[in-house]
Amino acid sequence: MRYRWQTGYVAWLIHRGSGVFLTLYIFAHLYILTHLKNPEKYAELLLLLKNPLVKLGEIFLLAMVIVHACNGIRLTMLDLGAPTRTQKTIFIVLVVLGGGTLFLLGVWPIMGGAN
Amino acid sequence: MIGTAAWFFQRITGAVLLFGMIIHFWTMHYSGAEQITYEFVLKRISDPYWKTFDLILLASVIWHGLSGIWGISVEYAGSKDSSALLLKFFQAIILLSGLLLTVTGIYIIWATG
Repeated sequence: MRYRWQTGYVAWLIHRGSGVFLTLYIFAHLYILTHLKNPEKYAELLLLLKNPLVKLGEIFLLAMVIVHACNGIRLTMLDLGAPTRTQKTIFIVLVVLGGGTLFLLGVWPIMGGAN
Repeated sequence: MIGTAAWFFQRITGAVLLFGMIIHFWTMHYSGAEQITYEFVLKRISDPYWKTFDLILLASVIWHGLSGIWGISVEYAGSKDSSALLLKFFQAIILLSGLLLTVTGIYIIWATG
């Protein structure tokens, strides 16, 4: 089978990739929270958040969440009967405008802007 | 689970996650300066309303994630005769993951705070 790099295929690929990544992330997230009973260990793990590489990872995580959510909205819209010919527009508007705005809003506090 | 039921549950949990994640993220990053401390996290998780919220979010995210992985597994395995065993393997991993995440999550929400 040969795929063409069309909007629907790109969106499908991004949706799969981000979905698998986010599912794997739940394991890491819950693992860290199991240390909630131990203040020292938890404070130690929270210090990781000051590491620039971890911050970069958080930003990547945020990007994955937003892209997956935006594409989910797009899929739901198509399911609810939005004409297929509009799917490219929906994709661009959601990812670029919606996603871009949300992303900037999220990167701001991660970089310490809200403090 | 496959077919319409899987599709339906994926939609419902997806919608829950869309709003749940906004709240989840908002409280962690926008509710004041330097608040992600041990005390802050513990205080929040001790609140019965937050516990309920966390439980709903936990159930939705586990279902949504693993159901998605199951969908990919079914597509990957295809419909050949040899795919039945592969699917059983995927199914076992997914069920074990679900069990592990559910037990861990409930332990965190119930036992802390």
